Amino acid sequence: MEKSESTLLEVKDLKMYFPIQKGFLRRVIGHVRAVDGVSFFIRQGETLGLVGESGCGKTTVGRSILRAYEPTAGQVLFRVKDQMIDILKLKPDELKPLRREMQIIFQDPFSSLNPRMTVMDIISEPLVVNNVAQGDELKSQVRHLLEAVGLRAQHMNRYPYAFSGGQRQRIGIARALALRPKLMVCDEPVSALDVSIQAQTINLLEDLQKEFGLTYLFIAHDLSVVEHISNRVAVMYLGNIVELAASTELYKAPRHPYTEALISAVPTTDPDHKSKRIVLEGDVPSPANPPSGCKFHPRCRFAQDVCKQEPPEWREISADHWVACHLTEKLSLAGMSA
Amino acid sequence: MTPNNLQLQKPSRSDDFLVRIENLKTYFRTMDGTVRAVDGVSLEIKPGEALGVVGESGCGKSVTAFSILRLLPKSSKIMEGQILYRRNNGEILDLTKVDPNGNVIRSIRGNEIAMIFQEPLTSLSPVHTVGSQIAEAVTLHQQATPEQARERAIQMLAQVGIALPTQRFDEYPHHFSGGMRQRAMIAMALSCNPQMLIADEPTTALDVTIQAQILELMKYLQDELGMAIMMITHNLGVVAEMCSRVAVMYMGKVVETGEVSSIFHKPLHPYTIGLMRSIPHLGQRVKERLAPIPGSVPDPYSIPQGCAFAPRCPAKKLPGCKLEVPLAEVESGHFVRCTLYQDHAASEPAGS
Repeated sequence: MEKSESTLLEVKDLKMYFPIQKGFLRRVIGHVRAVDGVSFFIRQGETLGLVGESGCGKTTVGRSILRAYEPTAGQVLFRVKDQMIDILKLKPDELKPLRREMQIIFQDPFSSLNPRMTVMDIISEPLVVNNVAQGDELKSQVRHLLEAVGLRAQHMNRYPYAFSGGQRQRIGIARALALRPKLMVCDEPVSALDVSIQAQTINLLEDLQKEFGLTYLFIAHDLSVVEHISNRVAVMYLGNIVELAASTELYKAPRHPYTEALISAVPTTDPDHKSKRIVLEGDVPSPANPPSGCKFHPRCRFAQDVCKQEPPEWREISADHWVACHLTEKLSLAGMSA
Repeated sequence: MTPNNLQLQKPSRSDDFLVRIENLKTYFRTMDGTVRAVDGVSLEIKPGEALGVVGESGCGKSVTAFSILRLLPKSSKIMEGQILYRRNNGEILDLTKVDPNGNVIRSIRGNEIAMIFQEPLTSLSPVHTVGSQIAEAVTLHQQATPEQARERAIQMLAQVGIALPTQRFDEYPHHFSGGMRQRAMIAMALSCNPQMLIADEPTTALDVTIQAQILELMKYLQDELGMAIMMITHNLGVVAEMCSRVAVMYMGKVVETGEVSSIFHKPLHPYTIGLMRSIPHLGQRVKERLAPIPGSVPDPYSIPQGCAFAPRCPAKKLPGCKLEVPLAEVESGHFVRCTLYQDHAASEPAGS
């Protein structure tokens, strides 16, 4: 994979298998292959969207990058000064300074804030743990963070219950921002919010990106939100990325049949728009026992014998457009007609 | 208790309604005060049509649906208004006057008006087989023998696209995936050939490709069986695909209603305009910044006087914002509750 000066994070052949245990002795009888060989990179200052249906492994990718899980195999290279350091090889004490560089925003603003801590405690905790600030300096930093996310500084002594869902999500964002990270993993940050609040939060994330020079890995299942916020988009299916391209190109001219089906499944807000919908039959197979060859072949309307036997290669078919499909050159797929 | 059947002979404007809700007010009494969850809703659903009801959480869209079926908790009360319902036999009944535990509503619920819910796992019983839950409704409402009910249930499972229905009949909900559970719910709802289906966020918990399957299925069944659908959702895309008319709700009131095409192309109420602008549209080439509605939904215990949307409204404030205004017909069939449009049309309020 091509590496350039501007790459902030590079993931190479990442695998995360969770053991399935059974019986009194908790024997391992198999593995859930949540992430099964994922490779991509994120450039400094860009937003990479990661979409897919539930259970496709997108959250596991995000958490493995932060080493919240211990991945089974692969490399996660993160730029520190001019070097790419493999996060997965670091010892705990070497990892700690790097943790400041990467933070996460969670989906559920209700369960991700401790109800017994005030907003001040929640946002200042990372600063205290990392010995960044104390006393009045700490207070003034928290005040600035609250203002940066559009909350009133005088509310810092309140508890999370006193805030609405959208405001809580802002508190979570302020906490993630506290250590001035370079990379922010946004794990479905707006899916629990009402539409009008969703838009406020998306705009806030865009503003903060400009202001603090942040790089986002934006994980979501809502394709229109991902299209809006991302420079490039990666589509995941059953533990693999099947397609990755610039957001406008991916939606306009998808090259993988799954991407095409996913785009056609989104209900459009134009009542006159009558597009031919590709309805995928059946459900996503279990990642504990994925199909052979291309994992999408049982639901793919183009599947041929080769798809059942050999897993497709992850290759760059045109500049910055990556696809894992045997047949992509032979297919003419439909995207969004604007 | 004998249900108080009101035979009404007041046929106002259109005569072909299936359900007509007039000025419905359903309030909840809680320790902290009264929540006016539904505060003067008027809606009409015609036979065979699909009406979308959209709004953010807490706007009263689900409570309106539960009021129709009288499935409200004890802490709530229907304070005012009527829900006129035309039964299978042509009799017109005011559902607000019916005993919520009586025989009349029980012969309507699940039989003439069926409902499907957002979360199929919590609405199916985990200790009964899927088939027996469908068959139960058939035995209860259609006076069928157990064999007939079983046959009907298997037929329904096949109709909603579940493979191997005879085997699936004897399986439990946890054997089913999310999409299949929702299909089973739909099979159950349709097993007694209802005139109307109330779908409360039927696809919100599902993935987009499964959502597409369920929407296609509901469209097909609506055409096939000619039933009316009341589609409650916050997803404007689902409304645009499924419905012919739409009602937009905010803080317990309908703020705008009309044909889907006219509301989506030319929204009039500032709240509807705000909703449309705040969602990213797929395939939009130019990356416009989203225009969110400022502020958040007001506290349900202290809804502002007059127009509840006024504190968040970007339009210029008029003295009329402090007053209750009726729905005004701005264009034919397109009603708006906003003081900006009051002089536009000196028409009577919709549905009353």
